[in-house]
Amino acid sequence: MASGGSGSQSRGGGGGDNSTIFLSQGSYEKPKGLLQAISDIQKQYVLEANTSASSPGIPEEWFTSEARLDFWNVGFKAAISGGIVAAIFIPLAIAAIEKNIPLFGNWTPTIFDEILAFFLAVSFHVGMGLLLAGLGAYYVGPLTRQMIKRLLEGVAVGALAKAAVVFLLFHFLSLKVITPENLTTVLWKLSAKVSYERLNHVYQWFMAFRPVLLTSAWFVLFTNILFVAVPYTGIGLTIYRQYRRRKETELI
Amino acid sequence: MGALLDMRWLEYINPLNHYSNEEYVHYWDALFRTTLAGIFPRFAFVAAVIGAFWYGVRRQNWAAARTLLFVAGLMAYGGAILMALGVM
Repeated sequence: MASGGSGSQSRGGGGGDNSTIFLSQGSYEKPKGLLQAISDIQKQYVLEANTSASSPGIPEEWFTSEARLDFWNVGFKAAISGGIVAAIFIPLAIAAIEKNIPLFGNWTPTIFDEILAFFLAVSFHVGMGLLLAGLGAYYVGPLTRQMIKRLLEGVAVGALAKAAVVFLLFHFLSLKVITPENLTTVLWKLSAKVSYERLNHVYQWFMAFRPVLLTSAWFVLFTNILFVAVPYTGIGLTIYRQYRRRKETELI
Repeated sequence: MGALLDMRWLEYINPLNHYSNEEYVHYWDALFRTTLAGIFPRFAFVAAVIGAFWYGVRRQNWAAARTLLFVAGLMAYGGAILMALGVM
């Protein structure tokens, strides 16, 4: 639970509302990970969804500054942690499709193999997107809104920071590190021990791999933008549904 | 105790005392070709990815999900690593 302090509270609203709001027992416990943060949001949603419309509801300040920061941090760390998976598997998938590396021990992968490789590359984003996409359904009360907003802000900043770092790193590797001059210098040092054919093969492979890194950089960027857009779209749809429901109620 | 100390058991676990060098290399080559190329790695890959999603999203066990994703990556690109090393 994001906020804490008291046990169960009975609240009488201005309109004689006698609904009981059960708040968390014991001291504040910060969410250890994304799943716990989502669970906290779900618990809070249950409380707020069961509050009658006439009651004043729980004030936003109940979600303290410390809890806000904790939710933001959880989102940020969750987005960053999957960066390594994407940074490794996306260039590998693109290299396999460009036939620079074998896939399943085969230099000419089938379309099914290519789909599998791409699925592995985006699996982290798909998995986390599935978890976050459902948050839109809980975007109801003022407190759950604050919790979801803070969590998604952390995810968005983390995902975009990760995308920016990977984007710049891949460009740096492709344009500044894997250059013909650098490769020739390094391979020349090995020429005493390794045959010319083998060195030439290595040189050709790296030259073919350079554009793969540039494609991967843009792919990582688009994937992350899409990954951030999915949960916000879910929230947008919830807001739109709430607006339509309100309009329909007003018409009746 | 004496047999342990004279290290003769080390010779017993040396595979080249039981198989020829060619036979031993052939076994490993066959093992790598079976596990990292062809139909088996594709099945193992699909199973590992499904397992990763099951553990990650459904069971909410991130450690198991990451391990299974790593296994899926190994199935897909393990052959490439061995080919680059000249093993396969």
